[in-house]
Amino acid sequence: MKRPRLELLTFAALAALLLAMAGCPAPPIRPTPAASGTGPLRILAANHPLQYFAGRIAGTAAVVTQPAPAGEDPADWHPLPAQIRTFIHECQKADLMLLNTPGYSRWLDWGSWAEARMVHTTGTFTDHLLRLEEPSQAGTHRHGNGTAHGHGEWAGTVWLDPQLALRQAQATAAALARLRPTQAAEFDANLRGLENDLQALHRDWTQLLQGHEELPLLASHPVYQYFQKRYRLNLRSVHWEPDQMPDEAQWAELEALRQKHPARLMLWEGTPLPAVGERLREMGIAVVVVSPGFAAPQKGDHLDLMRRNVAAMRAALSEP
Amino acid sequence: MRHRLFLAWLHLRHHRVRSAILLACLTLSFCLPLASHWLVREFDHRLSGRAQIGRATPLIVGARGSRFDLVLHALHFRPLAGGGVFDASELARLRAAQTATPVPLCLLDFKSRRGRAFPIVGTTLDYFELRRLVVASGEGLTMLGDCVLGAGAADALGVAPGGTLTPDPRSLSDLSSLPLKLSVAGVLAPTRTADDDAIFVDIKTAWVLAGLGHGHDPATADPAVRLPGAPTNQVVFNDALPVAGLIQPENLASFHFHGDLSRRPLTAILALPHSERDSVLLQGDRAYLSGAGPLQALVPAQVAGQMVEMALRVKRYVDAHDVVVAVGTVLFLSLMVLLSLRLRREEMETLFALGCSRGTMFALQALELLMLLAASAALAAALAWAFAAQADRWMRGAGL
Amino acid sequence: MEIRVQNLEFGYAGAPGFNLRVARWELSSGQCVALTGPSGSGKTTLLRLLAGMLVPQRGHIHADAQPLAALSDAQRRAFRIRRVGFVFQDFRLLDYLDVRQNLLLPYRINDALPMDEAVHARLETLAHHLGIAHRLGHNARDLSHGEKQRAAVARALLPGPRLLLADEPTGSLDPDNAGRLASLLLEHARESGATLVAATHDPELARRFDGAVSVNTLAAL
Repeated sequence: MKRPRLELLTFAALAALLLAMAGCPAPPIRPTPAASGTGPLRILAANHPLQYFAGRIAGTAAVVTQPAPAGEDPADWHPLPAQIRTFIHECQKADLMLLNTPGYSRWLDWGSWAEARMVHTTGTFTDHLLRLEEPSQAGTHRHGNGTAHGHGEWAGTVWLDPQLALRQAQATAAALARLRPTQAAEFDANLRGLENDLQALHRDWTQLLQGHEELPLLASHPVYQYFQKRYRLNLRSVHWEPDQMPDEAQWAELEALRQKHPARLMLWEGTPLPAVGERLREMGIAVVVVSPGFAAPQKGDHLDLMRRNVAAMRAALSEP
Repeated sequence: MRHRLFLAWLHLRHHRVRSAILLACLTLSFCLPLASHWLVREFDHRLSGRAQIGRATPLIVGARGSRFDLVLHALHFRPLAGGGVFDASELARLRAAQTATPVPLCLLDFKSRRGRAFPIVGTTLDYFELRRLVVASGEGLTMLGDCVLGAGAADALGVAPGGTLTPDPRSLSDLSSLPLKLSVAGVLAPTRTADDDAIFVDIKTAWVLAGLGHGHDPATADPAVRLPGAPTNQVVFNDALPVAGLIQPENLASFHFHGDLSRRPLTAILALPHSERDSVLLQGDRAYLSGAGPLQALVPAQVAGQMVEMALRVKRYVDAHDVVVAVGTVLFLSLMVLLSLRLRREEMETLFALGCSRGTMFALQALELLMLLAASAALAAALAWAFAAQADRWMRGAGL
Repeated sequence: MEIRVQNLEFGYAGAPGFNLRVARWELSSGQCVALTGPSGSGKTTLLRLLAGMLVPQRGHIHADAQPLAALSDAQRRAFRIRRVGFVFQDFRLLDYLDVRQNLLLPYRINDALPMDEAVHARLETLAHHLGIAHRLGHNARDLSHGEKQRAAVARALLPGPRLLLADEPTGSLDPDNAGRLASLLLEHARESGATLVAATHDPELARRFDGAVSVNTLAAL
């Protein structure tokens, strides 16, 4: 019978026509990231510690940046309205975005991102994440007849626990290896170097803080949650800023806190105003600077800063 | 040959009615299998084609229910019967498992004033990359509140980049949602798939549309309504402030989500495993295998294959019918040829007397039949093509 | 063309009562002969035998000294195409063709006859001569009886045959038209030197030919 052959011929003609109509492929929606190429990867880190970890692991394979200007806490920073679109466009060009805790980078909620390029560095240990004790006032409000409420926020200084910092670094290394499988061995070797340093830091802290679990300690700001939990510190926080003189009500609040919590050491993110330091000394409280290292340190690298923290703590604890 | 074709053509033309009946018979018997074959092939192409995404075997995660519904929902944006919403916490769980890139989908219905429905697809930039969608004008999704339209949707709604679009809140699944204007950031190049009729927004914008977040316009913030004790440099929002109707860089900082972040709704997740091994691991995830769990994970190609298999079963019935039609046509043709031979006997005698060979006499009649066959094949192809174009509209109407 | 028939016998398989015999019959080149005889006597059969469309069971037909029975089918067809013009009793024009295409039909069905400019020119002249030039574009079935007859003659004459066979060419015509057609046939045959054999039972017509012979007498000659 002739029919099947004719049918085939007709289909061949139809198929050819379809192919002709299919047209040429157009460029993709975003510039292709450098991931597939050989040039350095563009990595955007949510803060300096993640920037440092990524830099150590990737070596020359990546250019790692973080969005906040020098000296600014990236957890508080966000782009100005006029810069938002440009900022988002720039971020969208990154091959990887290293994120800290959920809600840490506020601007993340403002733009559209590719899940494939986002590395949730705390994603593998969300059960270890700690909630902020008090919701920030700015986020509290009410709608209609509803009650005032805050939005769930997580403490962000995960990396102050060197063990969790290591897991953040491991998540970063895994993402890098997926992106550049040919350089996976190199990344792994670099990760092991970083791991050694972080474990050494952990040993230093453990040795230093062992036996001080009961010692009442104060913190100028609630940023030491993970550090406190790891080394089981007896730490209470106020909300003071290093560059501001607390008002009398805040001093009174501190005095009241000391009644229940007779601390003689106060951890500060940065060196407080001299007057504040003097008044604390008069109260019998010694100042010890344990910098979380949100931003790049002026001297040395992130690990140097962490080691300086250990040294400062050691000095403070050894004082009579 | 030219002369014989010419004579055959003149004979066909002279017996118009007879030729037309034969042509119709042959065309119909060619057209039916052509159209059914094309239809099933196109159905297969659309279903299976959309199911092949990513490097390794992809999975669709969604609320437990009809497998077909979920696949049609995630790949073709068909509405899910009974909502099928689940918590975004699954997204975090998949991220933590590190076996796949989870591409979230949250679909809302949007009805234009003229009543035509367009799905609002809340997703991430991954979706555009995995579908290789191209922005024809404007730009891709950038800021919260942006939307990117499929070519068909942009055309039907008559909007262009720079314009705005106001989804009717009554048509959204959440009745408490607020009217939010979407900024049209870009329009996609046509793809002849469900993407053409979609309104794409960021997943977070979809949540704002669904009433899970909102913002306030600083311009309307009256210093008099500050909360007592609030610092003067801090704008505090309360119920006296109207919610913002359009997200702009100026009020972006005021946008926020309410409630537990992990409870935000999703309607599907396209899970793109990093490798085949990861895909197998994910398919074996106990969260999806347990019949009692709220979620299921499907291999879309398998489900699409099952749907195509059903279509093929229907096609087999049609094919069996085609054989009957073909036999009938052949018998009818034979009868026509026999009658024609008898009717043309005197004509053939004349040709013989004029020196015509038997070969030429046969060729004259065979050519006539061949011309009919060729014309009906061409006509059948044209009809099948027209049918295909119509079927294309049907399938797109059905969201395929 | 010179025709010589000797001891010819022919019968149809399905008609045992019919038997055509020709003992001896000779026609010289350019001779115009009327073939007479009652209906069913075998006039048409003899014309068909002369044209090579039928082959006798016995005896010979020589055309210009060439025995037709010795030719193959293809050779006989070639003979018919190139050298014989046949005017049928019932015209045999094809009703799905116009007059021009009917005239060109021998060319369209025989590759041996090239259809060139000269053929078209000859066609125009012939049509003009036969008074059907204005009907060339009309369908054959729309023609009057006389026009059909003339078209059939034109088709037979167009290839320039050396033997012109006409089967009751005036059978269905009124006396005026019949006389005109006979003149046409004779005139063309004489002009071209072709041998003309016309079967007829019209004694008037037969008288205008060089001679007349009855089929029945041919058997006895």
